[in-house]
Amino acid sequence: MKEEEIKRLVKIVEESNIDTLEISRWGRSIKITKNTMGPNSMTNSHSTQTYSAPATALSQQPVEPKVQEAKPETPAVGDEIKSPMVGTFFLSPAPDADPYVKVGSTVKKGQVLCIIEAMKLMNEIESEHDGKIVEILVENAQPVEYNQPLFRIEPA
Amino acid sequence: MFNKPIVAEDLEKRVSAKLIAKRVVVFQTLGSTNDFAKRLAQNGEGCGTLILTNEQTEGHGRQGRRWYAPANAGLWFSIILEPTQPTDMFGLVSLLAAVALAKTIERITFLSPALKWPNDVLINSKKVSGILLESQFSNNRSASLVLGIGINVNQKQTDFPEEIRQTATSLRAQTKHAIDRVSLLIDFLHNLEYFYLKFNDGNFGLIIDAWKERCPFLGKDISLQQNKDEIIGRFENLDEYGRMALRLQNGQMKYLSAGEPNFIQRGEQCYS
Repeated sequence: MKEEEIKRLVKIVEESNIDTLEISRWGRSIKITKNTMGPNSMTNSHSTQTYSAPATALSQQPVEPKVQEAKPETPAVGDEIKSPMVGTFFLSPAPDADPYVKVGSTVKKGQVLCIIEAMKLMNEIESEHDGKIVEILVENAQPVEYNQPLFRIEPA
Repeated sequence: MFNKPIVAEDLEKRVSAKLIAKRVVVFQTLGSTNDFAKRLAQNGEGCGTLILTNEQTEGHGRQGRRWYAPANAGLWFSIILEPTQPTDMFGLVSLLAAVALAKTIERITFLSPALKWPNDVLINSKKVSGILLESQFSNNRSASLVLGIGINVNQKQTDFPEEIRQTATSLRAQTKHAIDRVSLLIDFLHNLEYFYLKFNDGNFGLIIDAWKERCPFLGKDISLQQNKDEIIGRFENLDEYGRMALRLQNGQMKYLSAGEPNFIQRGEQCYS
């Protein structure tokens, strides 16, 4: 479901007297629940997306969704390269080929780092800047989620 | 007469599609049309350019698998596309290309191809084409998509290398007569443009329905090979992204975007 559609649905729940709205389409479902207890939360999965709309009772003020900032547990070196899609992560173009990069590899902006395969579409993920690979965060041939960190790169 | 090399003028004179193949580049021999098209796209070549070669010496499928592409026997080509939909919908181009090809084969040969998820086109359980899409992502954005297609047209069944003779076929081997490759390509480009424009318009349901109509394995039990893992379940549906909705034995629904399906019947693998 598109972000705009979800926002529209959240707004409908906010402005109505209903507490929960659940819609199924194409085997995926979205459930929006009014949250009167705590901060707004949002979870997302392959099959179900659950959103909590802010409490609207006794309030005429529109409530803006808050984004919770993630606190890193340990100081990490370098920038993360994240997956732009759901798919399968491949570190080399073929099983018997050399990997595109290894830990310690120096990379240039635009250099291919890995492939994410989805629906027989091979997406070459390129480095956003010059730098050095300090960590590979996913094992070869493993499924990855949208926005999952793949590499940590120390900019040159 | 059907084994003559294709030249660019053959296509330019006859192509009816407005967007797809608005520019045509034809080679006698080329390593890989996808590799060439990717380089062109990186250098700013726009949507619709078609790269075709009469012989492809380094054609490849997923994970670097070699694609057998002998001179003047099939159609080996790539098209640069610039979809206007968000990148998470790009996988549907894989499905729509297979649907467009199946429609062309239906019209030209009167055969009824079956689709195997996500984009294999099969005749009598043998693969007649290979479709591989490639794109480059930088800063979480992809500007273009290269759609690479190989269609086995006029090979005899005995022409195929022994290791793929049981699993691959050509239109000639199935119909027992040779086919004009240019007519086949022109018809395919027309169908491809139709479905591609529907995709850009957001009419995903039309693409998914057309795909499902041609898949005889919906509702059947399958095993899906994902590298070393095997997932078994019932192929219940496609979701709006074209992913396979698989009902696992524990009743849970799993949505899969990669893997090699094999269909199981009466406890045995009947087709792969």
